[in-house]
Amino acid sequence: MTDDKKILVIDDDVHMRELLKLEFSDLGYKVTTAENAFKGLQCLKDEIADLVILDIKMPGMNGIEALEKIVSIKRELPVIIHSAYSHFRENYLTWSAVAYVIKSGNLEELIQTVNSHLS
Amino acid sequence: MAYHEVIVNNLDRILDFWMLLDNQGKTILCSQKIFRQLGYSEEEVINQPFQIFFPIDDPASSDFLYQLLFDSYAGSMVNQKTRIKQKNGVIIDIELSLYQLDNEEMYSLIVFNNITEVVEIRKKIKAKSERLNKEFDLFDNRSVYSSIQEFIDTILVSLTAGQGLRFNRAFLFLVDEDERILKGIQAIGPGSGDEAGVIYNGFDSAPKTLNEMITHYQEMVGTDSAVNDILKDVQINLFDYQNILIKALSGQKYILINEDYPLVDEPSVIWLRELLQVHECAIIPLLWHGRSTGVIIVDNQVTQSQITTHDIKGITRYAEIATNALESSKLLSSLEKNINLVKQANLKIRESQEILIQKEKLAVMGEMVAHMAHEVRGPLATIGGYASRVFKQMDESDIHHNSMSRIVETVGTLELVINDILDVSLPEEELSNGCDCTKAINKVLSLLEEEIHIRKVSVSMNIQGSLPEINIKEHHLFEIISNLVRNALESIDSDGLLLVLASHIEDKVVITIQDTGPGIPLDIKSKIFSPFYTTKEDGSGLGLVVVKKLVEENNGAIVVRTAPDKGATFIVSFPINPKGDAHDG
Repeated sequence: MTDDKKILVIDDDVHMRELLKLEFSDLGYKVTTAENAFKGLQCLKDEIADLVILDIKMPGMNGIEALEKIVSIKRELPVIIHSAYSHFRENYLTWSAVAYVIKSGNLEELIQTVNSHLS
Repeated sequence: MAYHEVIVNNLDRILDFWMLLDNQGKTILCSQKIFRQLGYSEEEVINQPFQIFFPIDDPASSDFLYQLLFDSYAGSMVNQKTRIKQKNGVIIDIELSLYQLDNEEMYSLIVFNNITEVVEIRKKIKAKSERLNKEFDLFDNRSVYSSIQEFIDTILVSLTAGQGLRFNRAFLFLVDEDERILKGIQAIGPGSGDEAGVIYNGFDSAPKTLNEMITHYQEMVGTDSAVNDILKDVQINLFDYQNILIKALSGQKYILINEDYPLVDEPSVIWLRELLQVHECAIIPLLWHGRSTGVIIVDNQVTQSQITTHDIKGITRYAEIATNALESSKLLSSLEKNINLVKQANLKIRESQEILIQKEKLAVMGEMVAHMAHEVRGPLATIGGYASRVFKQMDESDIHHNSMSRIVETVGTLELVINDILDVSLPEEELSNGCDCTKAINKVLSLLEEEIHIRKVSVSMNIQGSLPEINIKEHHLFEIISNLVRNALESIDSDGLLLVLASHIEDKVVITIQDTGPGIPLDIKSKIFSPFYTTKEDGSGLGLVVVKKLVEENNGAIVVRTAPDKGATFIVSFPINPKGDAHDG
């Protein structure tokens, strides 16, 4: 079911990137990672992704700026904000993301959200 | 020679007092009045110097005439004031003119008249004015900020009181520059003869000072209702130059209306006499720095005594003082008003500054907490994530199974602690509920007032009374209405109608915002709530996204109705606050 679905993870924390790659690969997704927003946007141009997991606080371009660019390139692409910040949820600039998941040791919420958008 | 006699014999009819002196300064001829009215005999005057008329102790008497001649111009010196004594010793004031007659013999003619009465009157007026001035000393005895009403009372009382100018009634009219009219302001005086007794007795018996009189007057103001009724509705257009009051006002000169007044048949004179029910009255203009600010009308309706020029002089002089006081007080009161406004504005600024500082403190604190939370939460998520991963793959029999479980559990607890800290740092206001739609709508419209004006948009607002409160954060409701109204204005562009309705329907409050713009084309109607979708050049495409998100977050609903060229209608509804009570009114 998830065989041909591709997820792009954009996060500057190498441990988080690796963790998500491991977890979602286990679930059968193809996972690509990018360590910053510029590389993430490049990935989107080069290859097709079905969903983006996007961190907010990153050096260079932050996730909110990246989100605006992603939505303007690919309006239909679902983006999930995955951040250790909770208060950006109040910021309407993040509202064009399909979901806002706060980083947690328990990945259950993120997994469920991804599944619901890719099923 | 006959005509010489004619002149000399008739001089008494032409001149008051006269004397012809020879070159020695001795009297040759004089008028009969000098004997009759000053009481001197012929022997005492004829062939005697003029000096005999001066009081003995007057040091100036001896060379008075020489001094006059010395100061004279082309042989004459007119209207010199001096004092002489009658035979019986009474001193009188005279106004004297000296003419040197052009003749080899150097005759001089002295002409004088008795001005004692005039001088007395002047002295009296001066004393009275000074006294009024002193008692009416607005800037020493009375508060600078006394109300204009107090000054008006003061003026009217001074005009009518026994210790004042003793008119029966006085009416005050002031110019209203905004409306370009002369307006009846206040009157004082009895409505009838009976009342006159009450008022005047009151004034004449006890009160001594002006302040006491004013207090007395203010206590009886009720009895003045009849006289006040007379001028209550009087309003005269300032450009009605035929009107007698406007004539006095624009001519800046008093008018005495009595049987001698040449224009008694003028309609406005007839009108005034009927209005006041009086034959004789005087209209005195109030002047301030060359500007006419009003008129005072005085009469003696009750006592029927004639208004004399003496009276007029008194009131004219008094009117100057009164106008100065009144106008100064107007200026001061408007100054005071402005000062109060500035004070209030200052206070508000200080209050909002304090609120801002408070909010800033909270915001700084919130930011700090959020930053710390982020710094901890990120690594914590990584620890927890890997731990869970390991834990999930671990067999229950593994010796590390218990340790792993504790790590995962503790990370979860730590995350809850962080969430708690974040919740606590939220300002109290963020959590408030019970919001008043009317207030939010008014706030939005007043903030957009300028834009509404520039775009020439007519706003029709219909808000049902006593709308119940709804459960939404105030700034959220403001954001929703503000976005919708701004969209409406932008779509109207210019010259259109904006309709804002709010009503209570069943268990909801429904807000409708309708415009007469071009409407939304059907093919894009479904996209208007999508992020970054915009038809505006400089739009972010987020306005309606924000609106929708906020409406839904607050359990509300939003619907749009539109047709091409028929405008757009956005209808937002919210459930009412179950605990909130309806507003009164």
